[in-house]
Amino acid sequence: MLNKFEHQKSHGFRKMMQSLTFQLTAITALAGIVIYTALFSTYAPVHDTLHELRHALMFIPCH
Amino acid sequence: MRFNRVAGLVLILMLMMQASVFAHGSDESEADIHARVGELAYVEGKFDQIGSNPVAVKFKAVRLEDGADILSMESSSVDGTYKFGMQFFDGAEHEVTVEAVDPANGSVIAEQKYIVGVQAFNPPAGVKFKAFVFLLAVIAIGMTAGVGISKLGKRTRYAKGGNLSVK
Repeated sequence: MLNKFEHQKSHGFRKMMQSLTFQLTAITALAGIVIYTALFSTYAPVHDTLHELRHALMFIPCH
Repeated sequence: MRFNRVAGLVLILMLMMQASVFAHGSDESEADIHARVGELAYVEGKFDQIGSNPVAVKFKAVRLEDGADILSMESSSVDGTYKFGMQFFDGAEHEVTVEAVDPANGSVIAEQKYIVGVQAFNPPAGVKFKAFVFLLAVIAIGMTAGVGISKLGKRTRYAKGGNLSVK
């Protein structure tokens, strides 16, 4: 069983996760990871697959 | 915070992969003109066999690996000389065709072809960063606008006597 301090701590974290600011920040961070991986990473399988898309967008630095 | 640790680890792993990756070779040993991605390269020359009449000059750039038309434009020349500047955005071989066209009947009087070897290189971190921030800013602005419109709609419904908790 959780003591009072742990209960408050757990409740506080859950409350923070449900806040709009946290959710918007998390989505922005996730979008950043997806964008970086898809359009900027030099990981060969991803780069080769999306190579034409990079060039078609015209402002993504590819090589 | 588990999420922050995972996000940080993913970011570190991605930044570690900084080796240059090219989707195709950029062997430019047989090229007539050497260029680099994002830098202006000039194709210049002179048509000797057209006489002294003014001609229309057509430039056409084709990427050789897949035959894609990159650029096509037209200019004019009085004495047969031409100069054509272009920024290539792909590190691959291109063929630039320059045609002297008779402006009266549209027939091709002379033609010259150049192979342009464009050197590929890993884009500078500053350029990548600017494009990345731009894309992320578009998403952030869109989300902020969406949340703002949603809140404004709720407030309007509440002002009209509706229930604020109803989404």
